[in-house]
Amino acid sequence: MTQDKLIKDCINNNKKAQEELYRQYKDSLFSMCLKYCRNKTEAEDNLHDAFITIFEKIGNYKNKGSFEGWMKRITINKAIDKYKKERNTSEIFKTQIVDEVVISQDKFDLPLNIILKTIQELPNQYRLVFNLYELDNYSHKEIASMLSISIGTSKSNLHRAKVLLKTRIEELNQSNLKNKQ
Amino acid sequence: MGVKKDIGKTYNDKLKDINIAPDDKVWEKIQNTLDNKKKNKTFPFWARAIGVGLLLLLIGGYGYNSFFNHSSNNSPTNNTEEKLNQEQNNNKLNSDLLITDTNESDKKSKILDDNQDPSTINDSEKTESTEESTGKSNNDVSIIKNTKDNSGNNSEVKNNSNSKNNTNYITNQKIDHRNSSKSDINGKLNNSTNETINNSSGLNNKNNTNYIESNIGNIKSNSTKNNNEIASNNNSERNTKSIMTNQDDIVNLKNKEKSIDSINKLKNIASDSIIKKDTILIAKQIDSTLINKKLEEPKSEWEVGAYIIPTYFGSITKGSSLGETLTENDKQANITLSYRVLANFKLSNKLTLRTGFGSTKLSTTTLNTTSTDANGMMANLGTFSNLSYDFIKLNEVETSNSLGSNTDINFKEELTYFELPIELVYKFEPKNKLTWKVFSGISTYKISNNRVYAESTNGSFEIGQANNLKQYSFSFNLGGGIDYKVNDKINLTAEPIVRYHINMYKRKVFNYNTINTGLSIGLSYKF
Repeated sequence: MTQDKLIKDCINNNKKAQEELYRQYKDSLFSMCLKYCRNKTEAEDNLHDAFITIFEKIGNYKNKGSFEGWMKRITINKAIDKYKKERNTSEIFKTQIVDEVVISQDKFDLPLNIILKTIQELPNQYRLVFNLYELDNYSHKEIASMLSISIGTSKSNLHRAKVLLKTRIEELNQSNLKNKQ
Repeated sequence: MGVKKDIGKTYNDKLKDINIAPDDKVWEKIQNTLDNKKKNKTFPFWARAIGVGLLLLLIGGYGYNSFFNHSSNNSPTNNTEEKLNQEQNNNKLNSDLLITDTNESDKKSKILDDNQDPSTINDSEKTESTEESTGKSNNDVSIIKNTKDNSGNNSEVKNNSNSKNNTNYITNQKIDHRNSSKSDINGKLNNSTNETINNSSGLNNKNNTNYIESNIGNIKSNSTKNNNEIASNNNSERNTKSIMTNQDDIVNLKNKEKSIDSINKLKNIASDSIIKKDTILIAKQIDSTLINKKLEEPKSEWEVGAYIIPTYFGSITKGSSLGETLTENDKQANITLSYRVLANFKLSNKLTLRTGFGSTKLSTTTLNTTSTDANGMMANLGTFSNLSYDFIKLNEVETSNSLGSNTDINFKEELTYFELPIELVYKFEPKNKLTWKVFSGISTYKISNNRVYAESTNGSFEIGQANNLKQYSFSFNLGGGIDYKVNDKINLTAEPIVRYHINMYKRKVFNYNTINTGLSIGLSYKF
């Protein structure tokens, strides 16, 4: 079944087409949810909400840009909506941006789920800014608009997220070393 | 020690190709949600809204009918009794007026001499109708005899028939004012009430006379046709109905009122006579029938109208709902056009329940929200917490420097709602063709469009939408107005209306309350 046919059938609320669409894109979207959410349960909820919106709004997709990109955007927006509902203003603070945060590549010799977990453990706003900027290539200006924060806050949040990640990765490496010894 | 690299890029490399499958239960949950939504969509909002409106109208209609039936069954009778009591107290007969009425009615009435034998009734020429009636029944001629003792001075009423004109020939009463302060009737009253005396000696059985019918006939102008029917009916109920049936054709409202007056006079006559009980009964019957008939005149209970409302949307306070940094900003209310289609259901002469649907467009501008830099980029966009940007449009606006460089920017909100109003209208007494009214009610709104524009001297450009608006909200409505009656079916309406919005926002950045005012202008059509 071609993508156009699949989309048309989904517009007509064809259950089989909806299931097929879900089957085709569930893994990539769920992986994205895992990066944007705090845990697996939240990620599943986010995936659920995203697919509901996708099926409801699929008629609005105008064949401009990639269909997967359109779905990813919806998935990200769902995570942002959730963040906005729970937003605690105390999380928003600025820090001085210092040097680039670098890390030795051999310290990333960790299981994928552990690496993923380090992101999930970040404070909500840091996690969103980090994902949007580093993994999904949004600009600070776009992030500022999406999260209703200033560009400076976005930059500062990104930096703090990186510092926290680096610290956490180093802790995990040290812990691994101790376990080996 | 390995190669050092930015931690962000390292994460990107590690995670960009991951593919982790969700649990199967996620799809089951999605399916359940979709199924539930489909069920809910069976009756979409507009259908449910119309359903609620119709239900309310039905309840209103039922209440109206109960009220109206009660009024029509009881009130006229009570009124009649009150009138009769008053008239009995006065106990005076304005016989001159009665005679005048009789003369006016241009009937062949004859005032008989005092000395004439009260039982004597001049025979008349046979009429076709009389013959028919006589053939059917011997009870056609009924006399209620006045046996009042003090009736030394008699009035006689003679009813006759004129076959040529095919009308009742009516001998009306003569009243002697010389010897009596009271008015007595010593006439022969023909009717078909139960208490009748068949006086064959003074009457030709072929005469079909009916005092009550004749008098009613007398009262009405142009009643020749009607009298024919009256003459051919022997049952008083049927006669009364016949009168009523023909009334629509032959008398206008003025004549009806005249009829009621005359019937009141009849009641006066009856009140002093020994047969007053019966006469009162008949008068009551006719009176209530007339009143009922008057009430039963075709009334327009339903009215449908279409209205256009120039609407002015603003807030009681300064500021904007778009962000907490805008609390002190000045605002500018914009005039938009809203529309309404309303069904009016008349609950009583003064109260009307109306409902329908409409499209309400609201627009307001918050001034000096931000400014552009030399490249046309807007500053502080992140601070407007209740504004979600459409990045594609925003980028287009900024990259093309559409707003201009170093200029102040206003944000204009444009909101469109589907409206379901329910209002109660009180109408004052109409004067000439004008009817003043006041109304109050509530409206339920569902948002259908929500846009925010950035405005500068260069123009207005869409940049996103407000994210703090509730899907459903309400307003209290209050207003007054005037109806101009163009004709019996069409009214022209002008109504200033104020709507105070409640429950409009998910999050309020401060104590921000909105209100809209408008002037509803439209036409309504009565069914």
